[in-house]
Amino acid sequence: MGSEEKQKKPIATMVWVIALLTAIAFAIAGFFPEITHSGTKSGNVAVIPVHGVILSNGDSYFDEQATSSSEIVQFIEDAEDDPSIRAMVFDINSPGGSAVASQEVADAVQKSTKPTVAWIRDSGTSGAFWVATAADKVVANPMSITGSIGVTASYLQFSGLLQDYNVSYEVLTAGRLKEVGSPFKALTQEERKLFQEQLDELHTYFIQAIAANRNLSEAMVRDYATGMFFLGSKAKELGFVDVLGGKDEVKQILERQLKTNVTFFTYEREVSLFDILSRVMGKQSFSLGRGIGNGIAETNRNSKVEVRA
Amino acid sequence: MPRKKGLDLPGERVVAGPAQVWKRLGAFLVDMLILDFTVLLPFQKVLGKLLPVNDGFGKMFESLLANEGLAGKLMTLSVAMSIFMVLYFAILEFKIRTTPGKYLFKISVQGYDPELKFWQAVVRSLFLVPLFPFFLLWLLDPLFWLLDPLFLIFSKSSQRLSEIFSKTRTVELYRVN
Repeated sequence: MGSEEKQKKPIATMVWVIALLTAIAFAIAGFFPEITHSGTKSGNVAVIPVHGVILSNGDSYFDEQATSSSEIVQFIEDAEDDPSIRAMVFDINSPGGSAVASQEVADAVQKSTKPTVAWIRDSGTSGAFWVATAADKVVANPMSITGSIGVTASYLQFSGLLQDYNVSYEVLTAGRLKEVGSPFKALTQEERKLFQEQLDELHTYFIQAIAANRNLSEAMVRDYATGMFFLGSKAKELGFVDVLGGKDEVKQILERQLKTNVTFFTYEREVSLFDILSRVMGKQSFSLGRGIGNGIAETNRNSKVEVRA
Repeated sequence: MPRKKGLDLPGERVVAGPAQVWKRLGAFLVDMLILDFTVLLPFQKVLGKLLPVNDGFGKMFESLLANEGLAGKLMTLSVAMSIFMVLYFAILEFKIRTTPGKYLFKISVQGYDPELKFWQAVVRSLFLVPLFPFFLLWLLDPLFWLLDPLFLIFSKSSQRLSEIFSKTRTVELYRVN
């Protein structure tokens, strides 16, 4: 009997320790990031920030480095479902981002049944410009940087570095072009051409979307779709922007349309302890990576001097 | 009173000696499996939200490249997970000198002194933390992961490096006639 009890005791301890740790782990995992709104909801117009690079699975930090399209779409849907929200303002200060992520946001803006106004601040270019044109009205400062209707694709290609370090890259593929875009090999002429065709298609899609959103001709938009940015004043002249101004002008537009006083409520993600820790660790990892990268670059500089025209 | 016949040899004795490596490995795998389905489960769900873990290595690599802040999040998550792993081993070994895996393979933990202190239980499992305190040791950590079990094979006392630091050993009972 005594020996049975002794045998049962460790098992009982194991069970409660594992159960306790699992419960604590579940509680702590609950603190990991979820999209929530901060502040006391008091306004009747939702201000949805589109700050930083727009990515489909991005990280929205309080220093506004990048923003996630899922998060923005979630905010739009929340504002749409909230009967106390009468309209949405998109506070844009972004250089654009992923084409898919930008389109996701632009689609959500267009689907909204409530009045929408895009307010371009310092910059609203490329994908962010796409988002802005999806709104009912676009307001920009005369000095805002807008436009940049173009598509770019880039990636780091390490084949030269591998050669320098006498490392070979072996890969087996079925499908002639399966390895297109691999960072370990240079592009062939054929691959480059195919890539370019895809980009051109994407560019056309971008142009058509802007033209449709702003009710302009595709040919006219294409003329200005060189990838070059233009100031807010030029954008107004071309018909890409409705009103030159800032928050006051946004307010005036909405008050005129809604026939009521407008008070803004900003949708933001709550910054959790996890975000703060992640940011600190991210910066450490970045610094570490930069240190290693600089070390390699230094080695390369010392071993091989290249002059490019 | 009947007289005992034959030789009066000492009876069977039980002595604690270093646990065999295969048993230690088996015990560790069982513990990791248990951890995977219990304590680490909520973190794996968070990980699934952060990374496309089911879409292959290529997609995960792309995600990492596309998201500047993701590395920091993954690091925070891995630290949180490893803290729970350390707690699992430390609490159980401190309380009952064993873990489910070790119990299954009939091995246990001993300190040099009869009493095993909590710090000893923590230190012997610290190798599970990917970084402590910060990135300088994070650089050294993979080296430590390699060194720690290598010590087990090459040290005379069959101890891992962190067992030497914590003044503990993993033992099994041997019957000696």
